[in-house]
Amino acid sequence: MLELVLTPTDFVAFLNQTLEYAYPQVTIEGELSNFKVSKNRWVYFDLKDKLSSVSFFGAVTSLPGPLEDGLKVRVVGAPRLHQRFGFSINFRSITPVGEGALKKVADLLRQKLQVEGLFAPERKRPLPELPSLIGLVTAASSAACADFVKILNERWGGIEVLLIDTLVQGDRAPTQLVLAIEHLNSLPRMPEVLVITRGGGSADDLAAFDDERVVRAVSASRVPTLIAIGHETDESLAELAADKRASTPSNAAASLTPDRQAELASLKSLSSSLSRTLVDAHKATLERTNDLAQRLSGAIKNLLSSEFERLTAATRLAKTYDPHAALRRGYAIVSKNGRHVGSIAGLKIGDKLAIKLSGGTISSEVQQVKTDGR
Amino acid sequence: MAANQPKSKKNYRQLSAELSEVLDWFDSEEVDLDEAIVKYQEAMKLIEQMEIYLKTAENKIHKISASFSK
Repeated sequence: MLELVLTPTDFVAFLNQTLEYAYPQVTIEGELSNFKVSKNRWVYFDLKDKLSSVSFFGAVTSLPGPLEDGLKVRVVGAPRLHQRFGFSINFRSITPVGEGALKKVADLLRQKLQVEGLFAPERKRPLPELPSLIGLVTAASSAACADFVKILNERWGGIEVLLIDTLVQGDRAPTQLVLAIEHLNSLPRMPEVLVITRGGGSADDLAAFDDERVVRAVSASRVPTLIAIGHETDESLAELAADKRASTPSNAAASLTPDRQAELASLKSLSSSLSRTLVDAHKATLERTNDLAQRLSGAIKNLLSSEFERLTAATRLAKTYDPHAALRRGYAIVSKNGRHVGSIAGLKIGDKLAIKLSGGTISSEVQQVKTDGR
Repeated sequence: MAANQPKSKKNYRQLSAELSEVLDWFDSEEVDLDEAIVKYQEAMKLIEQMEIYLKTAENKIHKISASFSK
């Protein structure tokens, strides 16, 4: 048998090829120790149990958040032999395991993000009252997605929903959630609100919503965010960073939309109220018209009455000038040759006079002219 | 989902804003009957469009999956 002699470089390449073929990916669970971050870019740590310890290496961007020695974590990665630094596993993801570790990691991250101000109330933006375009990030086949859409359809219509189907739990969930949030923020026509939702679950199930990358993506979203995870207590960090939190997917849909039945009832009531307003306006106009008519009628009546009085007075006055009235009282109108005689001046015996009395005229002749007492 | 959208080109918010303007007129003006009749007809037309919208508008779900398949 021919002995195979390799250079160190060849051996490293040969072994890596073998490892890649035999162990493209391994998942190891153990206690974190010697955790170090170098130049804010590279991460080194060991995972150990009672007997063994394995070295890991990777990028700081693959961390779920701040970690510390002693935590129990599950790490996914690929084993590699480095040309100079020896054997290690290049990790792709780290997930705290067990409620204690999850809580500890979440607490560490919460403190860090709190200091950065990601949860500050003044950062919260109001959600649109009636969005016409909603970005929805959830597992498309989940009950949470079905509930959200069902309630949305029941309550309102005419809304467009851009649904991005993502994992909402497990190692790959944080990356998918982050990509989905970033994608919806990069659309030329951005949604008016971003809803990220899933049903309830164990602390492990919900761990993606305590992942630093997810929390930062929610916080950085230009589109206002609404996160609804089907649980009432223990807000996840993503919920703390969101603009608004709803307790369930159904509540999220309800909080974004008015109820169409209530709106229809309100329109009906408005319609009746408008009809009443118009009837009132008609009544008021009619009353004003009646009032005007009465005033006009009164004015005409007054005018007629005063005219009548004036006419009566004039008639009375006219009657006093009527010569027939004087004739009836015994006066007479004397004329000579058709000319009115106002005095005895110019009359002489023998003149023919016509004397008009009430009822007729008599002809007479002057027999004597006598001046009054002079 | 079927794209059964109401006939009006305006969305509910626009119709609602127009209705509010007409209602403001009723609130603020000394109501002239002739103008009130015109405004009333405008309001009733808007209300009818809004009712049609509420009864017929359906939501549309667009699934974006290309870059996010599991």
